[in-house]
Amino acid sequence: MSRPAPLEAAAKFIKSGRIEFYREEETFRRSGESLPTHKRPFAESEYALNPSVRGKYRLAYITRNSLYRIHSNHSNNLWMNELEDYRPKVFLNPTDAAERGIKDGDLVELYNDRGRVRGQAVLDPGQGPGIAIFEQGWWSRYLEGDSYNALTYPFIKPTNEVYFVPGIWAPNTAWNEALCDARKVGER
Amino acid sequence: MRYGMVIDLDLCVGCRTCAVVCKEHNAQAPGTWWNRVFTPGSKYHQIPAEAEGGFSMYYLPVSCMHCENAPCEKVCPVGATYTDERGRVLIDYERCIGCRYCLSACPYGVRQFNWEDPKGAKARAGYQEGYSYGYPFPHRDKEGRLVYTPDRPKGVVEKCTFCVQYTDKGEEPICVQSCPAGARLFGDLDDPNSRINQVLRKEKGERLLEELGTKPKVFYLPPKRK
Repeated sequence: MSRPAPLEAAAKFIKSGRIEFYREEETFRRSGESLPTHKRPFAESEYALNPSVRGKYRLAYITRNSLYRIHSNHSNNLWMNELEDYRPKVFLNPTDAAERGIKDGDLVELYNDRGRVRGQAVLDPGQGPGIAIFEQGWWSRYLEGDSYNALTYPFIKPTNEVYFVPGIWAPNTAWNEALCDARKVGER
Repeated sequence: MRYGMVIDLDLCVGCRTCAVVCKEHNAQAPGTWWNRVFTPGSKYHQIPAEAEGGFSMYYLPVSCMHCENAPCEKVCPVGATYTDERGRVLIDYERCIGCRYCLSACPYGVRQFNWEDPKGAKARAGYQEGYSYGYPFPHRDKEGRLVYTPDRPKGVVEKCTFCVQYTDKGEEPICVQSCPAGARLFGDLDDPNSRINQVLRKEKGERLLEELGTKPKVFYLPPKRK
């Protein structure tokens, strides 16, 4: 049977020891997050860092987990590589791809001011528009020496700095808070 | 006794665990896969395919169908492919001459050929020297035919055996044992009380390319929601 964490353990990072919908710490109040709230993507990260990227890079860069790895473990596992044809892939919504002249199977580059990563275009009609997905964990040797994290920036959400409980509540890079765009660089 | 399998496509999550454990336990060389999992209609695994009225995504594991009327067995000029007393379609690696008639006869495309000694293929793919995997012993049937050996000789055809080395000991094939979703059932089609027959009485099992008359012993319960 699963029981809630003991109050004294949970109270290390939540004063009441239980889920709180209202937080009154200074950082939460300053960020306007005392109550659960929606914030426009990139307003406090990419656009604040460099306003000129607004409209220049139009895709949210998401580095999701892959079926074939545990983060970067097994990136050099030959069986896993066989299962995905030894090809890193860039997943795009078909409408976004068509806008950029990208066809299924093209060699595509995701890029922003910080870096680039390349992969084979896979058009996924089930994927939302405005998103480019690259599967995290590919070693640089499979990416022509590039790194998928060259595009990310170590944005840290201020409210994550309020407590430090390893593995539960701690500052961490907001990996998916990155903008990019896609262009075709070759055909396969 | 006639071994058969039922695969419930509503339960299959497309994780490909069955393909990987099959490759491991049956010591398949680089590039060889006895067992594959597809996303029907889609070029890529786990990407939805266009379908009537929208999109569909379900998964289809495919390995040897162990046909009652096996085309591979009929075309084999040397009797290397045969059906044993438990209904398993097997290959005698010592008798196979590598003519590959069976590769073109099999409508399911599951047979694979050893173009070279697997040790060479492993070395070229970058395996560490001396690294080996899979069930480590040769396995012979009652008549002494070599139906499994970890390093297949160059020039023979291979495919799923329903894990003959395990099913001979009363264990289930490794894909059945390992499926995390419990999507695979294995048992005796001749036993009316076997679990697979109970399931097949309740639900209509479909077989791939049934119109060809191959009579596969692998049944699929089609997905209710595609």
